[in-house]
This record gives sequence, C-alpha cells and structure tokens, in this order.
Amino acid sequence: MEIFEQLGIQPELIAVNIIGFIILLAILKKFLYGPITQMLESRKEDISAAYAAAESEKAKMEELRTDYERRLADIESEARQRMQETVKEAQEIREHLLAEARTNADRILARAESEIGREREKVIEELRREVVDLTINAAARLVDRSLDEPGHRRLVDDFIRSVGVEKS
Amino acid sequence: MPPQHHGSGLVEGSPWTLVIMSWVVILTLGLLSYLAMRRPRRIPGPLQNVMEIAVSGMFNFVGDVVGPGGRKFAPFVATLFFYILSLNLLGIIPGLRSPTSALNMTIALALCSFSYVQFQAIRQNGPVGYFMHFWGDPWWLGFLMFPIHVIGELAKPLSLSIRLFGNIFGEDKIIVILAGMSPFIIKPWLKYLPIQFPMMAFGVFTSFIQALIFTVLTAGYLSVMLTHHEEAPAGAVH
Repeated sequence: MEIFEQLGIQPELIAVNIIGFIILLAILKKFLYGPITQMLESRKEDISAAYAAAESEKAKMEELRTDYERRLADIESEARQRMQETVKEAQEIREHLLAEARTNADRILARAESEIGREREKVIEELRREVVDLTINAAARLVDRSLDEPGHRRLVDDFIRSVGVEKS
Repeated sequence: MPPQHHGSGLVEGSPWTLVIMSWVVILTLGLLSYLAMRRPRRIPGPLQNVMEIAVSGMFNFVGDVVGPGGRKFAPFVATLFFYILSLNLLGIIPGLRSPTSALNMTIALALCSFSYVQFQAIRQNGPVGYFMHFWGDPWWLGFLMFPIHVIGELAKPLSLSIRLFGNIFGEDKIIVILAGMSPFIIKPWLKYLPIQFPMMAFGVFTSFIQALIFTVLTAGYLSVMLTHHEEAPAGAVH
C-alpha cells in the first residue's frame, strides 16, 4: 500500500507496539493495580473497622455517661432524702426536748408550789403557836391566876380557831 | 529507488528508535510500579502515595465515565492513560521524541482500544445484541443504518490514532522548529536562549490533555456499549 508506505506505517511496528502495550497492561495489573486495589480495600476495611470500633466505644461511653448521670442523680436524691430525714429527726428531737423541758418545768413548778404551801402551813403553824404562847402569857399576867398549861392551850386554840372560822 | 521513510515518515530517525523508546517507557513504568508496591504499607511512602493517588483517581474517573460496573474496565483504560501520557511527555525531554508522534504507535494504541471495546461489546451484549446495536432503531431502517454504524465504528480508531498523532507530532515539530529558529530571530549573543521553552511547558499540558482525550473517548465508547446493554428494555435492542 503506497499510502501506508508514504505515511511510514509498518505493520510489524504496529504489532510490536501492540505487544508492548499488552505486556505493559499485564505488568501494571500484576504489580500496580492488583496490590493497590488490595491495599485500598484493606485500608477501607481498616478504616471501616476503626470507625465501627470508635462508634462502639462512643456508644459504650454514652452508656457509661448515662449510667454515671443516673447514679449521680440517685446520689443527689438520696442525699436530699437523707437531709430531709435528718432535719425531720432533728425537729422531732427538738419537739421532744421541748416537751420534756416543759414537763420538767411544770413538775419543778408544782413541786415548788407544793413546798411553798408546806412552808406556808408550817409558818402559819409556828405563828399560831407563838400567838398562843403570847396570849397565854398575856392572859396569865392579866388574870394573875395560873391555869394549868394544857388547859390554857386548849382554851386559846379554841379561841383562835373560832376567830379563824369567823374570819374565813 | 523507493524513498527512505523513517519514524512517522515525516521526521528523521529509524522507526525502531521510537519502538525502543516506548519499551523503555514500558520498563520504566513497570519498574516504578514494582518499586512502589513491592512492599505495600498501610501508611504509604511518597512513591506508593503518588501511585495510589494516580491509580485510584483514574479508577474512579473511569468508573464515573463508564457508569455502573465501569470499574472493571479501569485497568485497561488507566493503562492507556499512563502509557500515552508517558510517551507524550518523552518528547519534552531534549533530544528525545514522543513515540506517539509516529502513526505506528497511535495506530497500535487505537487498535488496542478498538479491539477491547468490540470484545467487551460482544461479551456484554452477546453476538446478536452486538449485531443489533449496528442495525439500529427503528428496525425497518436497519439496512440503511447498519453500514453507517459500521463506518462510524471503524472511524473511531482512525480518529483516535490520527488525533493523537497529529497533536503530538505538531507539538514536537513546533518545539524543534522554535529551537532551530532562535539563532535567526534573536541577536547572535542570545542565540542559545531557549525560545522553545514556553512551547515545551505547553507541551506538558497538551501531553496530559491528549492522553486524557484518548482515554475518555475509549471510556466513552465502552460506556455507549454498556449503557446500551443495561438500559435498553427487553426486546428493544437496537
């Protein structure tokens, strides 16, 4: 073919070039595409696994966090409850102490009143006795006659009682 | 005496020189691949990193262009890209030429692409589906559409090969011409100024673009076949 010759086209060169390309394709497939594809796939799997692990860890952390938050809430609630219980207890103790103090005070007051009453009675008795003695002495001096003492005493006592009855 | 044709027939040098250069590229790419992935590490080194980025980027790109299930074609398409890019870039190195500036190489690559696409089309659609693809739709226009589709299909490797050859050959040629022009257009004391340098920098860009175009077109051809196979309703294969 004249035109092929003029253009410098030589079938044997074309054949050699085709063979060269096929060999290059084979070489690249074996030494480049295969290993790279494998490497990229393996890296992709690694990354996926790493992501999955990270997601799993994250989920675990979330779970732990929720757990801790729940525990914290429980602890706070428990503490609040305990405080309320303690305050309530303290109030009860206070009420109890107040009641006891009030009772003690009442008892002491009653005892004091009773003692005062007793003292009063005693003083009155002593006074009466003094008055009787004074009266007897005075009467003895007045009438200048001595009665026997028991007789006098009975007489004055009767008189005083009658006076006390009249006054009251 | 018949004229001596060397290289593409338009530039000097033995055509086998370019073949040897392409084999050097093959060996270099193979060696780089081996070195990069000899002991693949989970935390990659610089070379492994570059290779991983390039390969995974290319695989994703092919997957996106071809569509669902397109990643299985990625090794072929990615190899086309890396190979063509390396061959194109070879022309930037002073003293070397791009093997893709010769039709022998671009035709070989286009034939590889064409054969692979046809093979996958038959494999995916079956022989009948493959034939019906050329027959077209509506069925009663098939006798007209069939030759048009066949010609269109045959034009694909032709356009692939000539586009790549033309662009890279032109780019190399401009660099050579600019390098040769510097003594004439610049003052004598500046005759060694590399005025071809901007074109060489631009050549890096066009090398990449041309490799990408070749690759995208191949992926596109594959996509057409696969889309046809997967999206056409049953019994409506054209």
